Order: sequence, then structure tokens, then C-alpha cells
Amino acid sequence: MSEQQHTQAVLLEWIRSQLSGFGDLEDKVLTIPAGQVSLLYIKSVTDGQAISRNIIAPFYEMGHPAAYYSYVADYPGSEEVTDGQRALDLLLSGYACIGREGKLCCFDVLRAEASSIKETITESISQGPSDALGESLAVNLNLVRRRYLSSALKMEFTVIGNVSKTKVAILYDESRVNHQVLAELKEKLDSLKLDILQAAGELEKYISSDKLRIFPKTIVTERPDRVVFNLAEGKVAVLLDTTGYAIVLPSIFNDFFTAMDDKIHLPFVGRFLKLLRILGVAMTLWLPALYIAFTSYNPEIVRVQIALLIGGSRATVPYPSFVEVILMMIMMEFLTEASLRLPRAIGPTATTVGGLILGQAATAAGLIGNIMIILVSVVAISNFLVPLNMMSFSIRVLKYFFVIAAAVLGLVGVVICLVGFTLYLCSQRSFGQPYFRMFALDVLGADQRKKSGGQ
Amino acid sequence: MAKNRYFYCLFVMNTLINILNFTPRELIDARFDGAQSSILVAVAVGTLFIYLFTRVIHKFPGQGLPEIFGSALPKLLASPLIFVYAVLWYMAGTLILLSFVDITLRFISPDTGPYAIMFGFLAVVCLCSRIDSLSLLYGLEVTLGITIPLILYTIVKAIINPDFSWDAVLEVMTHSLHAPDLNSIAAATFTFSGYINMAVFNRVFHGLKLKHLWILSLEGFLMLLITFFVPIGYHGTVGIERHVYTWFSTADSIRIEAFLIERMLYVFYFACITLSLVSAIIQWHVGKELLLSLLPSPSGKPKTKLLQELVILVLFASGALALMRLDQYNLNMLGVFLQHIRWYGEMLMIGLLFWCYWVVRGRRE
Amino acid sequence: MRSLRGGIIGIILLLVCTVLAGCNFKDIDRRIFVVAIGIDPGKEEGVFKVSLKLAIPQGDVTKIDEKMLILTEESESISEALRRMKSKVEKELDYVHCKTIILGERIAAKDIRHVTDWAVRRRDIQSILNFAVGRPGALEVLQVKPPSERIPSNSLILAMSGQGTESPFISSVYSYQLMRNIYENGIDPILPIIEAQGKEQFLIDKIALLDKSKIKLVFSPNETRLFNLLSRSNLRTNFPAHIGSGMYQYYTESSSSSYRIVTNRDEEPYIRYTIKIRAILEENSTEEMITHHMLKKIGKAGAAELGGAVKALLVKIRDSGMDPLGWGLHYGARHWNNGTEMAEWGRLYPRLNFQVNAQVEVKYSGMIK
Repeated sequence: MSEQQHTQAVLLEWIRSQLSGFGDLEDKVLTIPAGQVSLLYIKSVTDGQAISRNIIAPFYEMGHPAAYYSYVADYPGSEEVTDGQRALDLLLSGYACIGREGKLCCFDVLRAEASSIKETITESISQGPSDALGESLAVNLNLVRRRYLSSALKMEFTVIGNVSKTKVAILYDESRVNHQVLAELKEKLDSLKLDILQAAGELEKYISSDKLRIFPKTIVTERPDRVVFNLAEGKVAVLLDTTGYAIVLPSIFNDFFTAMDDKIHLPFVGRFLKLLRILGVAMTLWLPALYIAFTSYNPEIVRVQIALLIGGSRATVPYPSFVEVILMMIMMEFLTEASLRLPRAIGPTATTVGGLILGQAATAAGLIGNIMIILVSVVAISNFLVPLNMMSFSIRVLKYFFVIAAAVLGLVGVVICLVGFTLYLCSQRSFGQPYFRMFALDVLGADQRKKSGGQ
Repeated sequence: MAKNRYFYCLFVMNTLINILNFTPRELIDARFDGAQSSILVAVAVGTLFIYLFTRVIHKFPGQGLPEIFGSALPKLLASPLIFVYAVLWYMAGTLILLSFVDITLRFISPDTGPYAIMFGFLAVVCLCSRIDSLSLLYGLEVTLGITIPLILYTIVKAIINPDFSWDAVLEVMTHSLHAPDLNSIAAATFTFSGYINMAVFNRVFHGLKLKHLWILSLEGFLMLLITFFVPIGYHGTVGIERHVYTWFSTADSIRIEAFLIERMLYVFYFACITLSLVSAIIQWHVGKELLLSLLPSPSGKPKTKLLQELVILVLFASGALALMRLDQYNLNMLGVFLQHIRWYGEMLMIGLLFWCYWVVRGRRE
Repeated sequence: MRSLRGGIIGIILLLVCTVLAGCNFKDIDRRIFVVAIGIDPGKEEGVFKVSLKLAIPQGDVTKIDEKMLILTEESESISEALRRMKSKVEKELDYVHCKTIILGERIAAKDIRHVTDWAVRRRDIQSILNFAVGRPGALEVLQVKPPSERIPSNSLILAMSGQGTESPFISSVYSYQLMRNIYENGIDPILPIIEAQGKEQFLIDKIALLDKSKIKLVFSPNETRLFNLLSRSNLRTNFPAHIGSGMYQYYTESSSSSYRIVTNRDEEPYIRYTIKIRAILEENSTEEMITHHMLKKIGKAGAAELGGAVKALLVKIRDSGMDPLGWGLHYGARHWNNGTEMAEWGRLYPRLNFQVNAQVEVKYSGMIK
């Protein structure tokens, strides 16, 4: 008995020494005539109300330490510990330690300061649900569960990060998931060695093996409905605590061009919108490059009236088309970046000043051709047709490759670049799934559906 | 694993790129001396070859030429054969590149130096031929998806042009009663020889089964007719012999009325160069894989394999650069010569495969 | 650190490509587009006088203000003349947008094959450019500048391509057609004639028939229109029909023509032309109401008139000995005796007769009866 008491005292002492310097450490001994318990918790991660209501008040009401202790130990979410390290971990993650007569019990009083459910910001759609994933894992799981009422939806939890101890949930539909993908993901997560994990994008970076990749291979989304939609397609979702985004994998090229309201629209409208997006990407990739090719290498390709028009608009421009394009595109990137960082109230002003006035003045001064301005605007706008930010950023960078190729070899360069990138895309794999194919739809969905239909 | 439709892709690729250079030239040179009957013979022979080849390759699921030869033939015989085939494939790819440098210089960028263009081509071809076979098939499918509509558009636009001289086409038709000619047959069978790339690509096919063979032969036949007759309709029965790149001259003669681009030539050029680059990549990939199989296998050392590939591709590239010294007529002669060799090579390969099958089956029993 | 390295590599790449781009990078504003070439005989024998019409791109597109420049140079060879003209302008001459080659009438009367060969052989001159004969000379035609024109030579391009005016008197000949017909057996080339009328107007309403190398015969505007009716379908024009003293004009909504060469052993060979026209009544010189019966009568009268005119044209073509409609090729395409068919045709041709079966169906009387 005394030995037990002794271990508890040692344990508490060890914990205290570990936590020395914690200004918000609360270390109390609650005493009533029948006995006493020691209470240890960190104020900043615990919920004071929960402590007074669920821990302190019952102790004085019950008046019997042994009964109280069993109340505490049986409370859902509580855990009896004998290991100091474990107790420390729990303390840090929002538990209160209650010790009595050699026994130590950890009671869950976590205070989660999470923002409430917000509306989607980066992936807005015109119709359909507008809830976004929040910063609390529990809320997020709730958002997903509520939309996926199937017993096949499994969740596995793991912790990543030596310091941050980020909770990570892996979600998948057991009946549809590709188990190879799942195994590969788990293996990768297990082998991760890092201190801090704070954002979904960070995790995305760590689990993709290719360092020089240009295209994202996992979707990072803030939409619970996209998570659910992808779960039903047999994909795996990874949710992180403290971040408002989920990772969906494996993701192929086609997935990045699917907006969630495609399903909501009428079939033809949906197809049309998807076609628009592909057209937009083609435009934003090729237009600057083709402009260079047409003005500097192959003016014979466009018809004579257009050639003369371009020639006319460039008549005052004092540098080669290549410089003109790079200059304007960089300017446009500045604008895009600036309007992202600026406070919301000033954002539109900056865009107007930059876009309209600068463009107007540049053409009036004869530094940039009129046609170039049209082109830059088209490129800038069509770039953002891509529903997922990761991809639209990739494409933003990618178009410079085409520009450089066009500047070196003209139309031939553009074609070479096109062939190269097509084959590069085709050679990519996202967790073993071909990244880019002609009929991309039959990659995952059809095979899986066939399988589950057969069962 | 690769689905059967990728086999059709390989086939269609060849029927489309045969439009470029040597096939129409050879056929048109023989337009009064048996090109028409040669086309018919080529369709029959080509279909037969495909049939035999797919039958025999079906018995070797997931195996490429090196594996099949290695298992059934003595090494002393297999290695030189593989080497010869590798050179053949390499030459086929190189010839496409050389023709396209020439075509680009003539029609697209007369100002750009030939070496700059060649370096551009070599960069993409060398980098991409290192990609694994399955991905190349995916890539080929996508490329076909882009180019087939453009090529079809060109062809339809060419035929519905009111200035197309049907009388010239009919006049050439009346010269059909002529014995076939070997040059033309060799050139025309090239249309059907897309299947031969299966020598390496069979590694990713598991048990190829071919349905609707008649579609292939019909498609090949139609393409041959188009290849042969459309330029005649544009440049006349006599004038056609003066054109070097008959199909590009033909595309240059088609006008698009309502579009940014007025000359069909550029639409056609874009489609052809895309397809040709992919085709050259595939040929070099096959050549490279065959050569790799001759070298000692690196067994799990990625560095050594990289080194081997690098050496092979540098050799390929420098060979292509060396061959750029050929002029228009030499290039043509080389092309015709290669058409013949390729045809005999195909025959030999099918024969050898049957022999291998016989040996392997005998061993099993 | 890594991002820094990436940035440095990016900058190096940019520098490399500016250097690389420098060597064959010629911007559109450093080029000057030749939109039309005119070729006349020079002062001395065997010398070409080559004129180029250049389009100068202009900065302000809102102003309708055409700038053009015409260069002229004489030399024994066309290429030499072009090379010499390079030093007359500050920008690179670019021929890729040349849409018209005009042969002076005196060149066309001598030999056009040299020029045609040059035009088709040069890689930067397209195969879909229009060939025409200029009257009185190519230079005069090039100098025409209609006031409605914004882009130099655009009026010529539009007129010849049928994108602008759809005149029944214009027939355009692309260089590949000219090339084809020069070498083909059994068909002879034609060329449209462009006449310069002063400095602001041109007139294209005649066709010249060539015997492979030079002009042999020039059609009048009316013959040109009939020729176009035979050589293409859906010619939009009007034809007259006379009934008694009344004159009617009908507008052809659709037209088609086809022919058969009939060579029966027991009769003289003849060509049977069938012309089918669907028409709308456009003009009526009498005050009578147009009844259904009247429409039929107009159709019949129009057909008879048209048939006579066409037959006269065909006889004229036959008597000239040329074959602009490709009857010989047509004959050869339907006979399998390839060795002898052309010689046979040569014997047949002068004896040819013609039957013209014109069918005019006037469908509507227009907006009023």
C-alpha cells in the first residue's frame, strides 16, 4: 500500500519536474474530511467549466474519495495510467490527472478552441452545400460521417509529429477502397519523421515521393462533400486535426477538373462546364506561347489580316515579343499575388488600378501591344477556371515552359513541349494509379463499382 | 495491365504516319505501274501478318521479343538477331525524325537552323523514350485523341473541296490493271506494320486477343486509298510527280474559310508532327529496350541501368545527328531501302516466333 | 537555399533562351509582308520587271488609313530581282502572306510556265494563292487602291476568294490548280483577267484560255459567266428570258451542270450537257401579273435561250482547240485503254458536237406576283 502510494507520489513528482516552468500548470490537492485527491492539469488546454462541473463539484458532493475515484475512472474517455510518459502526453493534450492512493487517472477535459463551421472560400460553387471543413478533427469527422452513412466507412487514427503530435485520421470505404493504395499510404505515414505537422498541404508534400513533381498528385480540399464523393469512388481521405483541409488520394489529373457542382447541373451543362475548363487550361497554357510563335517565327500561320493587325499593334513596341510576353505575364502574376495578400477592402482597387489603368497606359505609351493586353487578360482569367487551387497554381507555372520553348523554337518548340508534357503526365502515377489517361473515368470508379457490384 | 485497345492504337498510329513521307511517294511513283494492285496485295498480306502475329504472340503473354528468343533460341543466334532488330527500329525512328526536320525546314521555319530543330526533337525523344512501356501506350492514346480529329478534318476537307479533280483520280484508277510492284507493296505494307511494336510492348499485354480484325484491314485499306488518291486529285495525274512531300503540298492546297488560320497546312503539320514525335519515341523505346536486353541486367541497381540507357540514347542521338548530312535524294533512298528490310524483317520475325512457340511447346511436353 | 538555387537556374535558363532566341528571332514588326507580286516583261528582251506590293502594318487600327508601298525591279531572273529589292527596304521581305501573283498580259501571251514553276517551287509562297493576268500590265493592277480598302490588297484577296463579292464573272485560280492543269493531259489552264481602271478601281470579268503556256483566247464577260456556270455549281447570277417583246430576268438560286461524252460507233461523237437551274424571278419588263403558267413559260424560254448561248460557247471552245473544262481527262478517266486513249481523243475532239439540255425551273415570282 505504502509502496503504491510511493509510486504515485514519484510519478506525480516526475510529472511536476517535467512540467516545471509551465506557468499555466494547476497543481491542487482537494481535501475533505474523508480523504484527499491530488489534481493536476494545464489551464490553457483544458476547459475550466468542465473541470469544476465534472471533477471538483462531484468530489465535494460525494464526500467519499474511493467512490469518487471510481466515478472518475469509469467516466467515458478517462484512462488509468501507470506510465509517466503516457500521463505526460495526456496532460499535454488536455487531460486532467487525478491521483489517489497510488492510482493515477486521466480525465478528458480538453478545451478545443476551434472555429465553428465556416463557408467554403477557395472552392466556392454556385449551388450545393457550402460547409467547409473546420479546424477541429471531431467536427470534421462529424461533417463527413453525416454525409456518409455507411458501416463500411472506416476510420483509423494515428499521430504524426514528434512535437506537434498532430492527430491524423484515415478514412476509407472498406468495400470500395483499393487496398494497395491504403497499404502504401500507411507505410508512408509510418515512415514519416518530422517534428511539426500543421497543414494538409505539408503532409501532401511529405507523402509524395517525387521531389521535382510539377503536378499535384493528391487533392487538398476544404469541401466535406468532395471528401465524401471521393470516398464513394474508392479513394482514401486523410483528415488532420488543426487544419481545415483534407487530403484525398489517389488523385488523377481528371479529378482536378471536377467541380462539386458538376453533379448538380444538368448533364449537358455539366459537360459544357468541364469542356470550358479544359479549354481554359489549353488557352492559358498555349496562348502566350503561340503569340510568340506567331509574331516572331511563324507569322504565316494566321491569316494575313490578323498578321497585319498583330504587326500593327506591335509597331511601337521596342523589344522582341518574347520580352513583351514575359514582362506582361510577370506583371499579371504580381497583380494576382498582390490581390491575394491585400486586405479585402483594398483588393478590388489594386486590381482595377493594376489591371485597367496599367494596361491602358502601357498600350498608350507603346510599350505593349493592344493584342498582348487582351491575351494577358484571357490567360489570367482562364487560369482560374480550374476548380482546385493546387492545379491552377501548377498550370500558372507550367505556361512559362511553353513560353520559353516557343521563344527558342517557335511553333516547333510548342509542339515539342506539348508532346513532352503529355508523355510526362502519362508516366506519372498517383499511388500506383495512372495519372493521366484518355478515358480517365474508367480508372478507379468503373473497376471498383464492378467489383462491388459483383459482391 | 494494358487493355486490348492499345493494340489498335499502335496499329492506327502507323496507318496515320504512313501518310507522311515514303509510302505516298513510292505509291505515286508507281501510279501508272501497279500501285493500285499493290495496295490490294498489301492489304491482304498486311492482314495476314497481323493475324499470324497476334495468334503467335498470344501464346507468350507478358513476354517481349528478347524473353521469347532467349527462352527458345540459342544465345549465339538470339543476340545478333535482337541486335539487328534493334538497329532496324532505331533506324525507323531516326528516319521519321530526319524527314520531319526536313519538312519543318521546308514548310514551317525556314529561318531556324536544322540542328536547332533536331536538338529540340532529340531532347524530347530521348527523354521520353525512357518512360516505361505502359505509360507510353497511355501517351499514345492521348496523342491519337488529339490528332485523329485534326487529320480526319484535313481529309474530309480535302475530299469535299469542289476543286478536287475526281477525273484525275478516275484516270489513275483506269491504270489499275497492272501487276503489283515490289517497291509499292513494301511501302504499302508499312501501313499495317504497327503491330510489330508488340515485340516489346507485349510485355505489358497479358494475353492479347484480337477481335474484329476486318476493322483493321478496312481502316488500313481506306487510309492507303486516301494516301494515294487525294494528292492525285489535287496535283493531277502528271503534276503530282513533281512534288516532294506530296501530302504536305496537298494540305497546303486546302483553304479553311472561316478560322484564325487560313492554311490547312499548319493544322495538318501540327497533327503530323505530334504523332510522328510520339511514333519516333515509341520506335526508339523499342530499340532501346531490345539493346538493353543484350546488356547484362543491372539487377536492382538503378544507377547502372540509367548509365546503360544513357549510353544507348547518346549513341542513338549522335547517329541521328550524323545522318543529317544526307540530302533529299539520299534520304529517300535510305527510306525505300528500309521499307524493304523492314518488310523482310517482319516476315522473319513471325517465322521465328512460330519456331519459338514450337520449341517451347515441344519442351513442355 | 534550395529555392535560391531554383531561382538561379531559372534566371540562367531565361538568359540562355534570350541568347538562343536572338539568332533566328525575327519579330513581326521587323518583317514587311508582300501581299501581291506582279510580273511584267522588262524593257529589254528576256528581262522580268518584278513589282511587289507591300503591306505596312500600322499602329492605330481605328483609323482607316491604308499604307502601301510598291517596289519595282528589273532582272533576268525573278529571284535576283527579289534579292535586289531587299536592299530597298529596311525590314525583311516576307512572302508567306502573298495571296496574289499577277502576270502582265505580255508575259501571259508569251509563256507562264517559268513563273509558275518559280511560285510553286519557292517554299514560302503558298499553294493557295491566286494567279491572274493583269491588264494592261501587272504593275498597273497592283497600283489600284480602292477607297474602301483598309488592308493593302485586301480587296483583291476578297474578290478572288469569294469571301467578299460573289460575282459570277470572277473565277479564281489557285497556283496548285494552275500547276495541275499545266501538266495534266486533257485539260488546259485558264486565268482570270484583272483590268485596272484608273487608280481606284479594277474590273475582273474575263477569263483567258491558255494552251499550257500562253493565252490563246479571251472570253467576253457573258461567256465568262456561262463558263463559270458550267465549271462550278450554285453560281449566283441572273439570266434573261424573252417572251414576245417582254424581257424577264431570273436569279439562279441553285445551279448544277453535268456532261456525258457519247461516242457511239454509228454517229458522230457528241457531248451532252445537262444544266439544271432553280430560279426566282427578279425582273419583269411587262406590266402583266405572273401566273403559274407564266412562270413555266419563262422557264422554258429561259432554258432555250441559255441552251443556245451555252452551245455557242462550247463550239467556240472546241474550235479554239483547247480544253478548259477537262473533257479529255474525263474521257481518259472512263476508258481503260490507257496507251491509246489520248491519241483517240485527239482525233475525236475536232469532230465533237454538243447537245445542251438546259432545264430552268422558275419557282417563285418574287415578293409580288
